[in-house]
Amino acid sequence: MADFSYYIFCAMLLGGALVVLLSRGYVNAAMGMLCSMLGAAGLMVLMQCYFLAFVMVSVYAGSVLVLFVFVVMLIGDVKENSSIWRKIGIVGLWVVLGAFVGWVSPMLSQAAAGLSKTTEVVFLSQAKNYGLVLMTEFMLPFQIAGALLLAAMIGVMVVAKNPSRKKARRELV
Amino acid sequence: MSYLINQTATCMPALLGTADCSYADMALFIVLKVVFALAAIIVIMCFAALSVVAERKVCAYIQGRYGPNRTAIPIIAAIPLVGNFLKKNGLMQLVADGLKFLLKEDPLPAHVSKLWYLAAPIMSLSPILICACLIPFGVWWDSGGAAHPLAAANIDVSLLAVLAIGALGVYGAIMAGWSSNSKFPYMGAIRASAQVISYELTMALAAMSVVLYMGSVSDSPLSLFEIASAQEQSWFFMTQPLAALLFIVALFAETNRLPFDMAESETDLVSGFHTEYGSFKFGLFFVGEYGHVALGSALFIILFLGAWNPLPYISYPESWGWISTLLGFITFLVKISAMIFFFIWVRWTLPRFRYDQVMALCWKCLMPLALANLVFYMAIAAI
Repeated sequence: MADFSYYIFCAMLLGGALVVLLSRGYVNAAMGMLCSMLGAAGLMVLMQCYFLAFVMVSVYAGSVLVLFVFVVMLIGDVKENSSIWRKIGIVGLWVVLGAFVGWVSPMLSQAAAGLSKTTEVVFLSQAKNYGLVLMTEFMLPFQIAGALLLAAMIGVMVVAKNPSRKKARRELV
Repeated sequence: MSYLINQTATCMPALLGTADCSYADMALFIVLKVVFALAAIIVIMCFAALSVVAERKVCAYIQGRYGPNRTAIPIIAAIPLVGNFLKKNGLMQLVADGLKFLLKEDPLPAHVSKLWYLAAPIMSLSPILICACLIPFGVWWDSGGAAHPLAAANIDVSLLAVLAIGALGVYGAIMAGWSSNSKFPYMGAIRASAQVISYELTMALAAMSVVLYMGSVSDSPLSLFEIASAQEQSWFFMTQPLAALLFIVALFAETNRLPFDMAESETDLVSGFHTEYGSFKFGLFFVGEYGHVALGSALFIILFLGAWNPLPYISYPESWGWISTLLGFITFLVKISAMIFFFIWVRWTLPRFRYDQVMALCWKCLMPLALANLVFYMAIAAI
């Protein structure tokens, strides 16, 4: 049963990625990405990381992707007509990269297991455990990520600030 | 029920592939879970169906009319007392409406993007049905005296899960608007996406102040069952009135109910994102909206209105066993009905906002208030 759902979620994840690569319209690509994210969340549920899974759904599928679709709808859906060779190339790249990740990830996970201080397996299903680890062991990466996001946010505000108001004031003066 | 708890303990690891259990046990476990999930879905869907009738009746009452009171199904209407009761209260109108959705021609406009046009109604209804399985409808006690929720799935982050999965319903509106390939649905979809993203923040921040309090009294503060169980004494709307107000306002916006129904404002967008839909596909959107209302009511009741406890400082005693469970369940359903009545009442009382007013209200008023509220409770929790 677990194997069965594992393969379904993997198919969602990889199939969604393939749709993102191959689809002509932006909205189709965004929906492929949604499918991919839901697949990833499903895999996290299988690993009993419920908190991470639902944060994934809430933040990425529920908010970020809605923003993507919103922007796509504002600027209009463009249909790209790419050649068949390009598509074949993309699928080839998808297969090669997938195989590479499949080859590398066991080594990476072994290395990560070697680096990790905790010897016993701790399931971070409880939100409280997750918060504690985030605020103690991984405090520095957490703060750096927060600072990066803050910088990005301020940057967006500066870029998006309405220039006409300043111009109007200058003209008044 | 105790049997089910034992089965969960043995079969859940087996389902996840970390332990073994016999195939018969596992099959029985899966069948039971499916039955419970269906029961939860049926409760929410009944509310969705009945609130359609309630909407028409309450609206008629507010406007000084009778509302639907003529529709009669031949044989049932002839039963003395019952038949007349059903007819006068418009309950047979419900059957007529449902049959109309099923039996009318199912149009598929030529200019739509077919896949997403067909998928959109499903995308708008299915998240609600998933969320219904996570709502605890009551509490029961096993022979050891431990309390368990009356829910199909009891996970320790169910509040987050309901908020996350419920938010996916907006894709139904967006894809309906986009795939219809027509101006009015398109504008409805754009409004829906902007509005839902904005109000989701307020909603989550308001719920977060409850979670903050729960963090100091419980080990799994994000569990709806724990939040409900913590309200046997005072209810959270008494200790956190501002959070409750913000949450209910955001809930109105999330469910696209009238003061905020920008996505389908009939006066300027014909019918908004589902203008191009007809027959049963429209019916799915319609049921989805009311299902969302019922689910949102249930969430608000669990978070702020004491869940299955009848009054503040009064709860059904554990010693009554299953009688308490039944009374709690009925109390919960009565509260959901009252909340739905409140939704309808507001709809027929307040006029619709203008679109810029909706956005200004969220970003300039509700968001700062929600943040201030959160910081206030953070300070209290720190002290």
